[in-house]
Amino acid sequence: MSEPQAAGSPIYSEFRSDEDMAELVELFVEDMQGRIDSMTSALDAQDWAQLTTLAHQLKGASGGYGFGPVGEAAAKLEHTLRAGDFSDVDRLRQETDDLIGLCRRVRA
Amino acid sequence: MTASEAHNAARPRVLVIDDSVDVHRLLRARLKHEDLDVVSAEGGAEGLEAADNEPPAIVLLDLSMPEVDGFEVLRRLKDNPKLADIPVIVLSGLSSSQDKVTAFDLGAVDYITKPFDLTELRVRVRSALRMSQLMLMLAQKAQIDGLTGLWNRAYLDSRWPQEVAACHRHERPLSLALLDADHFKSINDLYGHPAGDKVLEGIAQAIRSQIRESDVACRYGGEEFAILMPETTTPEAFVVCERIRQHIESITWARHPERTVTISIGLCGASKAPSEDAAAWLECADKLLYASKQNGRNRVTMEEIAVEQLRTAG
Repeated sequence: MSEPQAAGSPIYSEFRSDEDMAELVELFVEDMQGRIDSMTSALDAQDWAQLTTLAHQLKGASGGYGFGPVGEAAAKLEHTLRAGDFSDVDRLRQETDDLIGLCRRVRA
Repeated sequence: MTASEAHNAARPRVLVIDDSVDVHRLLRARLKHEDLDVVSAEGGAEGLEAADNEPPAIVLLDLSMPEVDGFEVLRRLKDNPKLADIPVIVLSGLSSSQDKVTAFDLGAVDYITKPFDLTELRVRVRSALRMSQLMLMLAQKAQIDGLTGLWNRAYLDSRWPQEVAACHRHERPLSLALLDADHFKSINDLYGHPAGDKVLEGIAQAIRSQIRESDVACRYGGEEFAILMPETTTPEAFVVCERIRQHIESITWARHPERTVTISIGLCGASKAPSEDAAAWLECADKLLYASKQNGRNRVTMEEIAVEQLRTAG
């Protein structure tokens, strides 16, 4: 589990000092804006299937690159989406925003 | 390439089948310092094709993929005799225990949970490779004759038809020799079974010393041996057989220096392997061996065969 972090403070990869991983972590961080944009679009369009896929991918990848908290938030969103109750749009929006908030803070 | 060759290669090939580019990147980075060649396939169909083209030593397989998913890949790998023995490690999410169970039922050997823990990933891959190497060794052991260390009859029975079919298909020469120790029973009777065993070991050693890397020597049964010589015409095989015959005749046996041992050989070969009828070919060599015995033993009787001869003989 990660330490609680203040909103806006950077989240660093737990592999930041691992030579083999440095370049990969950079790539992941560079690509993050693209993921954020995709999730925002899916949320706006209420395309839940697409959002589920995006959350699933992010869940798998984040942990691998050493960003545990992002992975956990993605897992939470995926879980909610897979439960199939799309009536509580506010909740879905909140969880997606939480995830995107974390995504914005990742740093290589 | 056979399964054992895939293993013995300096760097075992690891085939990763996963639709996520991230997983490929991460696994490559994580396995960078292992003595492994990592090959990536980004879908089930692509993975099956890669496995079929060049069978890997191990497969790391994602379960949830679009179109051909991991379960289907597993099923098809296990249905293919050429690929069925390749160990498969499933890459699985934390939450899906039923998926793991199904994967094991389908023949997976292990699973690795995403996100990958570096140490766990390495030890699980190593352990699966080691285990399958041992399985291969065991399978091979079951095909080796305990006394002489040559291949056994079971191996010959499976290898010979393959060799006949391959040489026939490619129109290559092929020769088969059957060897039998002369008056072997009297050696056992006079000097005891340990002496008889020494003779069998000596004959095996003589055969090994005179054949080439590509030849296959088997203990066919009792005091009978078979040598399978791919890419070898009858006259070429005759030279090999004659060398073995002379070599064995010249051995002085520690347990009975007064008694030499000789062998009779039946040699049946073709410059273009003519038929897919492996059994008829074997009978032909056996018949020639019998002729050697009838004509005074300690000799090689050979025959060049053609399609028509085999078909009518069979």
